[in-house]
Formats: sequence, C-alpha cells, structure tokens
Amino acid sequence: MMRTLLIARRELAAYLRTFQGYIIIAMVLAVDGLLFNAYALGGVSKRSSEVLSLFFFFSSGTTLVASVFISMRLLAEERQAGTLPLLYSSPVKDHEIVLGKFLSALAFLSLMTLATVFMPLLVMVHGKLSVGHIAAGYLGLLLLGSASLAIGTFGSALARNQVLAAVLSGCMLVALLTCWLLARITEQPLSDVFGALALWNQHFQPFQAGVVHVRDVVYYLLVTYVALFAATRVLEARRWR
Amino acid sequence: MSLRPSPWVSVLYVVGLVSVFLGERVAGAGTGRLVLSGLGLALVLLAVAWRVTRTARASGDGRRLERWLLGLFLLGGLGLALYVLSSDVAPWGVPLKKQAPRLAVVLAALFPALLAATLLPLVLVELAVAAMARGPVLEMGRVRAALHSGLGLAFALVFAFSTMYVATQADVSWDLAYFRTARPGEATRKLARGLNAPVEVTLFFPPANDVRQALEQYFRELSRESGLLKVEVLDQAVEPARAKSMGVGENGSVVFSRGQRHERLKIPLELERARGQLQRLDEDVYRRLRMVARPRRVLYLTVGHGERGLMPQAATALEKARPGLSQLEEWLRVLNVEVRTLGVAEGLETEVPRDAAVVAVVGPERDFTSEELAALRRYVEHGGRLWLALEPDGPGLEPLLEPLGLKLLRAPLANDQRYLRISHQQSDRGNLVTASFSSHVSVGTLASLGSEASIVFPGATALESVEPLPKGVKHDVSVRASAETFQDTNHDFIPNEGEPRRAWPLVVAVEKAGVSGASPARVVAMGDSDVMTDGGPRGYGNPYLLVDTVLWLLGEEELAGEVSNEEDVPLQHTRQKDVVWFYSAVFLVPAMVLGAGFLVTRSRGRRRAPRAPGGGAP
Repeated sequence: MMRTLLIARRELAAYLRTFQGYIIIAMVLAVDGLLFNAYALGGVSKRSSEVLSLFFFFSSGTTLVASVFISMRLLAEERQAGTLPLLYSSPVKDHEIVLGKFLSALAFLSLMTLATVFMPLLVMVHGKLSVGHIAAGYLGLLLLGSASLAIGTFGSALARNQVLAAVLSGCMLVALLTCWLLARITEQPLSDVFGALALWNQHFQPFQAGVVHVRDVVYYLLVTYVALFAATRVLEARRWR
Repeated sequence: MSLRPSPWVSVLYVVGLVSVFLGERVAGAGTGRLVLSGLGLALVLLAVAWRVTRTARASGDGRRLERWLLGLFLLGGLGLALYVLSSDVAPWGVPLKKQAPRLAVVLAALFPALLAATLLPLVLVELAVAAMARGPVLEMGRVRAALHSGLGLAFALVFAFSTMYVATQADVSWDLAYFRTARPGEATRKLARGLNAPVEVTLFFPPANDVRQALEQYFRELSRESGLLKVEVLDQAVEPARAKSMGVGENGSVVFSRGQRHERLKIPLELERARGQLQRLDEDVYRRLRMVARPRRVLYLTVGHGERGLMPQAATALEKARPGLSQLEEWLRVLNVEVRTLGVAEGLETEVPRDAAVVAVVGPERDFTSEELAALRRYVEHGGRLWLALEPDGPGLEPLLEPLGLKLLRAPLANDQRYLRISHQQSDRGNLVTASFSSHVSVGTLASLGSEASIVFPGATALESVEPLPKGVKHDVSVRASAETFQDTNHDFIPNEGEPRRAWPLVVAVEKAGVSGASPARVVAMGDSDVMTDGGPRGYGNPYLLVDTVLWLLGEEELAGEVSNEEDVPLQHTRQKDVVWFYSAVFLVPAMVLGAGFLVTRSRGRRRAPRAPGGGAP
C-alpha cells in the first residue's frame, strides 16, 4: 500500500508541478462555466433544482472527456518513452503500479471537479437547494470520473502511445454510454443487462436529481474495479505475450 | 508427438457459439432460429470432436495445451447445455421454466458465467500460443499465465455482475434534493396572535405517519402564538363520528373550525405525494385560518376601459397579448377577499357599491367618463380605498389624481444597468428592478426583507407629487426606481441627452382626510399595472407588494408579513448579476487557477535553480 501511495504522490506531483495541469483545470472550469451560463442558467428562467441538475448534466460530459485526456498518459506515456521496463524492474507489483497511477489521476480529477463547486453555490444564493443535493451530484461526478478514469487506465495499458490510448478509452466509454440504446432495441433479459451496463443514462441521472441509490454507487465502483483489474492483467500479459 | 498450434478449432468453436446466440436472441423463432441455432450447435460439436482428436494425437506439452483447451470447450459446452435446459427448448416437452421456475432462473444465471469462463481464457490462451508460433518450443508457463489471466478476468466479471444484481435487488436510496415543510410565517403568526375567538385545528391522520409528524411540528409552533388556537390530532378510523361532524370521511384532512364554520385542507397521507403541499403549507394554513377568523371583504375591479381582467387576453391584430390577474386573485382569495367587477352595468356612473372594501383600477387604456370619475372621487372623499395601477400609454386620470396631489408622468422608464433579463433583447431594459422601499406599512414586508425581495416593474412610468399638496393629503413614496433609471422618452431603451436619470417614484401611498367626519381615505397609486399581473416574474417580491398594499387598503396592515413558502422558484437574474456570474465562472476562476499554477511552478523553478559557485546568488 505504501508503494501504491508513493507512486500516486509522485504522479500527482507530476500533474501539479507543471503548468499543463493548471491549464487542464482552467480549461475544464472555463468550459463548465460557459455551459453553466449558456444552458443551465440561460434561456427561459428555470427552477433552481433544474439549474443544478443541468449543471451536473454538463459537468458529467466534461468529466468524461477530461478523464480520457488525464488517463491516456498514465501507462501509455511510460511505454511510449520506454520507461515501463524500469517500472517492471523496480520492486513494485503490477497492481501497485496500476492503482498508484489511477489514484493520482483520480485525485487530480477530484481536484478539478471540486473546483467547480462555486457554481452550485451561486445557485444557492437565490435558489432553494439543499447541500445534500449538491453533495449527491458531486458524489455522482466523482464516481463517474472514477469509472471513466479506470476505463481510461485500461485503455492506456493496452495502447502503445497516448493518442491510441485516448482513442481506445473513448471507444470503450462510448460503447458503455450507448448501452442504453442497445437496451432499447433488445429484449429481456439482454435489455436489462445492457440497461444496467449503461455508464451514464441509468446510473448518473439519479445523482443529478439529488437521489443516491446504493445500486448506482456499487455500479461505478464495480466498473472501476473490473477496469483496473483488466489493466493489471494487461500489464501482467508481458509474461505470456 | 507434437502438433502445430491450430487456432482455427477455437475460431470454429466461437463461431458456433455466436451462431447459437444469433439464432436464440436475434432470429428468436421460426426457421431462422432453427437454422442458426442448429448450425451453431453443429459447429460447436465439430470443434469439440476436432479438439478431442487433437488431444488424442498430441503428446508432451502439446497434449497438456490441448487438454486445457478441451477443458475450456467442455466448460462452454456445459454452459450451452444449461442454456438449453433453462430455455423454452426442452428436450422432454415441458420447459423447465414451467416445471421448476427457480431452477430455471439459477441455470439462466449460471450459463453466462460458464461461457465467460470459457471464452476469455480461450482468447488469451490462443493469443499466448500465437505469440510462440515460431518458437522452437511451447512455453507452458506463458500459456498457464494467459489461462490464469483469462480465468481471473472471467471471475472478476462474474463477481461484478453478481454483486450488481444483489445491489439492485437490495437497493436503498436517499433523496437529498431540497424538501422542507414550511414553518409558520410572520403573516400566519400575526393572524394567530390576532385571534379574538377560539379556533380549533383538527388533524385527521393515522398514527405513525410522516405527514402527520410534519403537520404536528408546524401546528405545535403556530399554537404557541395564541391560547385561542387549539390543535388536536385524531384518527378518523377511531373517531368517525367527530370526523363526520366536520365533514371528513377519511384520514388526510386538516379542519379549521370556529363555531359551526369548518374549513378543510386535504393533504395526501404519503410523504412523497404530500411534498409539494407541505412546501407551501403556510400559505394554505394562512388562507383557511383567515377564512374562519376574519370576515369576507369585496374588492371591485373596474371594467369597460380596457383594464386588465382576471383572465389573460390573447393577442389580436391591433393589440398584443396581455396577462391576466389570476395570481392576484389567488392572493386575494388567501386574504379572504372576493373579487367582483365594477362597470357601468354595476352602477359605477352613479355610485361605488357600499360593500366595496377596495376599488382597483388596473391598467385602463381609455378614459373614464366624467360621471364615473365623479363617483370614484366621492368614494375617496368618503373614506374609500382606491388602488390605481396606471401605464405610461394609458389615460392620466387627472381628475382623480389632482385632488390627491399626484401627477402621472407619461414617459416610460428604462434602466441600462439594473434590469431583469427575460427576452435577452434591448427591450429588457424596461423591466425595472428595485429594492428601494420606504418605511411605509404598505411595503413593510418588503422593507424588512430588503434586497432579498426586489420588485420588477415591467414597463413603468413615474408618479410625481404636485406641490403644494392639497389640504389633508399625505404622501409617502413607498417604492422608488433605482437611481440610474432614465426617462426613455423616445422608446429606444438607450439613455440619451434630455432623458434624466433619477430615483423616480413608482408607488405612492396617499392618505386623505375624509369629509364630514368620514374616516381617512387610502389610495395607492402605481406607475405600472404589469407589476400586478401574472406576467410578473416569480421569485421576486411582487406578491409582497400586492398583499401588503391590499392589507393596508383594507386597514389590516398589522397582519402584513412574510408567508413562508419552501417551493422551488425559477431563478431570474438582473443583467448585473448575469454579468457577474458569467465573468466569474468563465474568466475569473480559471484565471485564478492559472495564476496559482504560475506561482507554484515559478517558485518551484526558483528553488531548483542552481546556486552560483561560492555560495553567491544564482
């Protein structure tokens, strides 16, 4: 565990000691702010709960996109730079490498996501919102971010370079996002399976509305677990490939 | 004997499974299903047979590999067999679903797990073998690692799906969205405090009910205001006779009783359904309490001069659509005030009806006749209560305003800094927003709320006091426009030269001594009638302006106060707020992050900069 945290700390420092990390956070904040002003607040006046729901809706999109860009470098960069064998030769296990890198990316994404908290607080100035609703929305964003980062980590483990990692992660996320469409055209029990697999439609909307379901929390944690497990297996595959 | 690796057997096996899947899930029924499923099954059997033959012929490590693959094939075959058993394809006639439904469900959950435990290791093992295709020997360690990886992945997936199933079945949820039962507001508390006869509130709810608890809490708080307010909780099923005497047939009612008069309020028993009503409970309670505690009063709305009516008016070729006064009527109903119309047919040309508590003239477009004006003047002189809401392009009503020392300035007002954005057009500048109130009782609630309760005047003009004021007349400019408001004489919503900026008077409360011992008259004149209509924005203080005005005109200003309402309201901002929010969200905060990044990276760069030899400055 100590080695995992050591890797996570080192990776997080890599994000924050360069200007690029701040540029990413600033860009995401600007895009979130623009969407918040243009769509959540803009147009006809909406109830505060609706404004908040729209804010989380748009934030979930930026979180997904940001997670692809954050995760693409995790393992693919090491492979691209040829430093992965150095990691292999160090006394750390594969799952510690994967978990450490994932945790650093998650910490960075959380920092970025929580930096947007002033927007729902602005809604609170004139609207009627509960802190619980805001907390539920952010819990949803963090869980969605965690799941998509884990998928991105898996994509990064599979790919030879960062661009390919982003493409692979994007494809996997889109496949999971569009599962709800498959659920519509298939019949039971397949439709139930696809519906339950859908990354956003069924599992994120309750968070948006301020409702926390245990099933949704479990879903995102399981997606994170399976994706990280698969990423670890990919790293281990060097033994048999 | 060692055999060359042959991935085609596995490909054949997988194609067979895919074909069965297509037959069962895509074709569904008929010949298509028969052909695809039959073909798939044949391919699977062929692949298994081929694998058995290869296992028999192989030797050494090759034989071990073939055995592992055969084992995977058989595991998949077992999954396929479980599918057949659990589906409607029953070899013995009656499907298992009907004979043993629970067993069928277990098998239906088990077969995908077996297929996953077959296919994932199969793919990975074949990949590992393919990687060694040109090698001199088969490294079984690599194959074993691939097999374990595949099995591990399959088990992880099975674990995930099972856990997800359990979590879905045993789901627990928490609704953290905004919900709060309204607490007694200041107006309701004052009403309770002002009771002059006992009022009983009877709650008919079953025991251990969430809605009952919320209501009990509300009424417990309210009953502290007056000893004359008695609250009792009954179960209709236990006390059917008492319930019947109050006209209640089932639980889920709150009855307000004074003597033989009963006012009922229905509230659903389930918290989910009762939410909306609990959020505006104070308003409902205020209305019922007022109905039993205070006599009904009548407000007359003048008609026949293009005034705003209760119903909205659709647009015509000559006129644009005009919102009605249904929201005002709703508020008046809460105050136990009945609205009636007053025109020539009702005798306006001769006399204002004696039961008129207030006469309201809302947004007339045509002049009143001299007889009508005379009747209204007489009404005011004899201590009448008049509410005038005028428009820049409407009649001036000088004969009515002059004796009150008032003059309507016809120029519309606009504000280029503090206005409400509705259409995002230049014309929004006509939607004046103000929180400038005097200490007059007709705006007491607004003054106490301050900037939290700004008022929006869509398309207003100013009123002016004509000095010196007529004898016995007192003015109080209760609402003013914000100081940067300008007179938009050319209707372009742009401040031009000769369009002065001032804190223009928008609402004036007038008191005029009555003639021959009559009580003093009260008049409220507004430079806008839209402020009273349904077109006024929600979430602003407009309702308080209307309610407090009515209460002052009725002489019940001591009952003015805030009605607690926990309902969500639409967010509406002034342009100023929009600008602040936009720039802070899109530019300021990202710029702060960049600034922080600059400082962090710069200070880090300084720390890492090499020191000059000899310990000098770098």
